[in-house]
Amino acid sequence: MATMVAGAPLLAGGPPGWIAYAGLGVLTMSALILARNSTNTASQTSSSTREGTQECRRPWSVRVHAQGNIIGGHGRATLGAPAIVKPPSPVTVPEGLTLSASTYGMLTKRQKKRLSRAYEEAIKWIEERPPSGMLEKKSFYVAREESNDRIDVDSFGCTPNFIS
Amino acid sequence: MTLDELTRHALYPFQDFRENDASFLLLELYWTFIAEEALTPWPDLQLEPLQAADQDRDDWGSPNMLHFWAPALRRSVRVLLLENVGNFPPCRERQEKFNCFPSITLDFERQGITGPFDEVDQLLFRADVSSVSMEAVLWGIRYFIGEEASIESMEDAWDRYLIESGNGPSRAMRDEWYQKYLEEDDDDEEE
Repeated sequence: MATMVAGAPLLAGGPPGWIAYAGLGVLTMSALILARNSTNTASQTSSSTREGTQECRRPWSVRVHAQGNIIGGHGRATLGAPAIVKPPSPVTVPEGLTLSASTYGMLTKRQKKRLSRAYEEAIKWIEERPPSGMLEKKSFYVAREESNDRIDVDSFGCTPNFIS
Repeated sequence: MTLDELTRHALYPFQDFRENDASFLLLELYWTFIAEEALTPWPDLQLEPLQAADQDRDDWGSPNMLHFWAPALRRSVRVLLLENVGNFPPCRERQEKFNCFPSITLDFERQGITGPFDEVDQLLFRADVSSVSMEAVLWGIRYFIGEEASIESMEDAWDRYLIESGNGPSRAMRDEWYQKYLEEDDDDEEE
């Protein structure tokens, strides 16, 4: 908290004050290499799990949830049907669509109206996934502007969900 | 190449990243450099990637640019690209703070690491490629990950920024807008 007290005046000052932060760090080649190594690690992990060469014991799971001010008065608010967790096999497209419909069904009439476009985009995205499926988090916003109202699809596992 | 050099690159702000692999690579570097620069004062802090940058060739929108976490802190950061697809006027240049383009938004959410049952607190930015967004993301990563600032204090600081800069609706404006929106819901229900 004490840190924020020190940082807040710069922040409150808006962009001119924030310029001060730009000079705080010197990007070194070693830092860049570290960052790139991290990215490479992610790629290697992803590809090796697809090939089944890395031990991975986490179950497949998918969560579809509505988020944003429209859900609970602040950006952190979230609402969704219980996640699908499947230890033996990936979550399928039909299962993902059913889960999405369950989450949408939990919304009020007004929330549905607000999130209808985001929901339709999420459904379309799950349906049109490539045959190899997906393993990531994807957000679908009501519009691409200042709102934080959205539908999130979270796909976890050692290999992709939504394979066909 | 440095962050400063990236911002002076001929392809900056890399708007053709969906079709141009070089632009996408530079865009990926741009966000990585920002994270690295923000956390330079904390060289020993271990970070792990959660999701690779998304070129979004099919234009689903809001592609992931940066997503990592600090296991020791159990905190993560996610940056989604914010594009002015609707060609909205900049929020900071108009009185009305809705249906405008803010360049950047800040929210907090929960993020699963291996599944939905091991969630951590996550700082979420939607940001365009601009100096305004860059400074905000540098600030956000520095304070949330480096300084371990509380979510509440960052939300309060962000609200003060919105009030003073006009770069999007403040918390009070947002509360008022949603209250009105949900009251309209009651009217609908009665019809």
